[in-house]
Formats: sequence, structure tokens, C-alpha cells
Amino acid sequence: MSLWTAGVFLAACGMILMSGTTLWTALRMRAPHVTLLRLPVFTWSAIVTALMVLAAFPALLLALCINVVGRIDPALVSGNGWNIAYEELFWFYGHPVVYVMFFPFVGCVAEALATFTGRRFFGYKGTVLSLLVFAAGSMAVWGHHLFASGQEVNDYFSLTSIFLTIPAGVEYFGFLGTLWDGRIRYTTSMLFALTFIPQFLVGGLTGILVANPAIDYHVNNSYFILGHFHYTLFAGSVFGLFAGFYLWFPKATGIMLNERLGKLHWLLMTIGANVTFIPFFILGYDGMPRWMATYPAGAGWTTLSLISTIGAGIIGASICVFILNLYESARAKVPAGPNPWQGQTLEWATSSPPPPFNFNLDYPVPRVHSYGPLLDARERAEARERAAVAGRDGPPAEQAGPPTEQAGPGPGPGRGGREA
Amino acid sequence: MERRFSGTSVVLIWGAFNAVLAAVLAGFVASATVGGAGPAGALGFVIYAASTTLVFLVALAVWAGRRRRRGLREPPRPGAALLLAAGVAIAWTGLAIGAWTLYLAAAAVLAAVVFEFYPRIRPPE
Repeated sequence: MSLWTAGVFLAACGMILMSGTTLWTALRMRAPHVTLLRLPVFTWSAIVTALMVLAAFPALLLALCINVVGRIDPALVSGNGWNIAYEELFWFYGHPVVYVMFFPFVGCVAEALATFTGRRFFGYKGTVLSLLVFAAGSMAVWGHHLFASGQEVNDYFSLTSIFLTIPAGVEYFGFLGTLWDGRIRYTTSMLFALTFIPQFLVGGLTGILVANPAIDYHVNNSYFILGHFHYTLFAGSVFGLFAGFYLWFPKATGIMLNERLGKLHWLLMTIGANVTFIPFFILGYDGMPRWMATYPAGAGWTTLSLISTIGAGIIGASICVFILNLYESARAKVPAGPNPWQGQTLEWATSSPPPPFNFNLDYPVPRVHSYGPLLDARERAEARERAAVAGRDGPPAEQAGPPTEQAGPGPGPGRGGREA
Repeated sequence: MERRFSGTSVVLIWGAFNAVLAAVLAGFVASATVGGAGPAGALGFVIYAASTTLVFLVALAVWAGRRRRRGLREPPRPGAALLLAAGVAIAWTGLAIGAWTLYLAAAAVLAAVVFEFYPRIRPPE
């Protein structure tokens, strides 16, 4: 137990230090001309994640201190007040950490959607603001884990929990607006991102249900809560994780992943996730409690539990395909090139993998006018091309726009669209 | 607007959002209409207020660091950090294995200190 406590303490300290460096890097060490409102959505998601870690994780350190003191001399923390203090401190960390586990993947999905529709992310500023509001709101909802304890201000925590639907809705509006009229390329990354949208929505909508204390009393400690949680963190975050993984793997390693195996991975994981977690809602509503190793044979939960177990097996098979994909891709070593997806953001302007400090003389930092500098360059090139064509019959090409700027190798056919 | 939207203001704005939510929590805790929540609610408010204060301290740190040199440099001796981490990890395993691992940990930490500071005293030619 002491080892576990020390391990969690060190891990939390590590997270706090890492978040400090992430925040400092994003806020103070950006490339020239990259203002805060020219950062990619993914970077913004990393900023709000770092802020939440810095604000919430110290509470875990205090909770662990109570734990340690209790182990040294139980009499020192024997009053009920200490139990309440431990629960409050733990959940003050425990709820934001769920958001820490999905905010970065919301950013991954946003980047994948913008890249594979060839459009700017719709409602960029609104999404940035909603991320900040969402993250702040998520600091104020921890008490909904204690609804049934009778110790909390349920009205407040119900209100704040339901309030989170507003910034979440703005983000979804951004996702859908980006897809609207986009030229969608169904790569593996995009498939994971597209699947994230409805599946995470299920997690969010069931969250609204359990944010209502009256319903929460009914489903408290049941499989319904597990269903909500797994749709958020597995069907949501893990799909976002793989969207980001398939998007940035070529950038990080310089080699492409096998798309055919990637799509098989996506298909199996999508089937597996839904076959596993949909039964959780029905089981939970039927009263099956969580944290049980077995149950009475006549409870009526066997068939759904069996279906769920089969689904878990399918998820396991999908992970095997993923590992096979890594092996095959490492063996085949198909070179990625600097910008295999016609990406828009700054990382696609440098080599794959990037050199130390990301840019060098071969790959200089391009001029940054927005969060999608490569898309800007493509749009300017297209405008010049159109002007050149029109110039044969009409006005001279000089009227088309400013001179060419470095766009990164391999400009693609992205259509751009208007910045929202 | 973009120029005014600085790193400090981002953290301040986020802290302000939290301050508003903490203030609303205080109102709920004190309210007789919604029943308050006794000591648990008050404690929750204290934790939230302390966390919000921490956010403002982070904003202060970001503001104080605005004039720090922004140049990039490679870490001179990353091996020292690795040795230090190994030392802490060895000390940690001592909780399960036995206190004698502290001797190993001390050796690793000492090596890290030497590895970090010796080249500063005698820089390589």
C-alpha cells in the first residue's frame, strides 16, 4: 500500500511538472508570428489539459498525504471529517482527470477533421473559448460523484454538470461545420475521428442523464455508469487517440502505416466497442451493480453479459490487428514525406521525422498568418493560378496577391473554405 | 485582439471562470433555500477556492516569465536527469523490498549530482 501511494504520488508530481512545461512551451516558446489565436486546436486542447492538471492534481497529493498519515498513525485521521476531506480531495482531482483523459483527443479529432476535409476548422475562436469554458466548468462538477452520499450541494453540481453541454455543443457545432461541404477523404485517421463524434455523443448525453440527481440515485453504482464512462473514455477518447495516432505517426516516424490494416483495425474496434458497451446501459438500468465478480444465475443478466464479453474479444482482436499493422509498417518502411496528408498546420511544413527543434535551413519556418499556414499558402497558390488563367484574357497576374511563401513540400489539392 | 491575447491573459481568464464558479458554489453552500451541505460543502468550497488561487499564481508566474530569454538550447547533460530518476525509482522500490535499496539510490543520486555539476566546474575543452 505504501508503495502504491508513493507511486501515485510520484506519478502525480510527474504529471504536474509535465503540464507546467507543456503550458510554458505553448504560452511562451512559440515559433515567430505564431500568436495564441494561430495555435492549432490540438495545442489549445493541450493548454487547457495542462491548466486542469495544475489546478486539480495538487488535491490528489493532499489526499495521498491523508492516506500516508493514516497509515503512520490511524488515530490522527480517524474522525469522519477526514473521510469527507479525503473524498472531497479525491473527487476534486478525480473528475477533472477524466477530462484530462479526453481533451487532448478532442484536439486530435479536430485536427483530423480539418485535415481530411481540406477545410479550416469551423468556428475556431468559438471552439477555443468553449475549450476554456469547458475546462473551467469541469473543475466545478466533482460533487456529482457524491450525489448519493447526501453530503453534497446536489443542486449546484447538477447545474454545473448540465451546463457543460453548452461548451460541448459549441465544439460539436465546430466538428459538424468543418465536415459540412468538405471534400472528405476516408483515411483510417478520419474514420476514427468520424466514429468519435457519435460515440462520444452517447457518452455525453448519458452524462446529462446522470447529472440529474433523481436519475443518478436510480443508476448509482450500476453498469449504467460504466456504460456512460466507457462511451466517454473508450468509445470517445480511445477513438480520438487512434485518430491522432494514424494522423501523426508518419510525421513522428517518417514511415506510413498500412491503411488497409488500419481500416480493419477501425472496423473491428467500432464493432467491438458498441457490442461491449451498449449492453452496459441495459444491464445497469436492470440493476446490475458494478464492481462484482459474479452474480446470481437467475438475475437475467447472463445473455447481455455474454454479448458484452464477445464485444471485448472483438476489441482485443482489433488491438492485435493494430500491433500487426505496426509490425508490417515498420518492415515495409513506406516513406511518408513531409506532408503525406496535405496537412494545414505548422508541423507539416517540416521533415518527417522533424529535425531537432523542428525546423532547420532545409525546412525553414513558414510565414504564419493563421493556424493553418500551409492552407494559406495553398489558397494563395490557387488564387495566383486562377489569376494567371484569367490574365491571358484580362487583368495581369500581379493583382492576384502577395508573392509566394514557403508552403512546405508537396502542396495538395485542399479546398480551404472561409475562416469562421 | 490577437496581440492582447497573451499567455498571462489566457491563464487569468481561465482563473476568472473558475473564480465565478467557486463564488456560485459559495452561494449555494450558504443558501438556506437549497439546504446547503454542511461541512462537506464548505470544505468543497475551500478546496475549489484554493485551487483557483493556485491558477492565479500560475498566471503570475507566466507574467513574471514574460521577459525570460526565449532561445532554445539542448539540455547539456540529460543523462544526469535519467540517473536522478533511476535513483528515486530505486528508493521507491525500497518501500517494498527493503531499506537497503536506499544505499543504491544514494549512489545513483550522487552520480547524477556529479554528472550534472562536474562539467560546470571543469568545462570540457
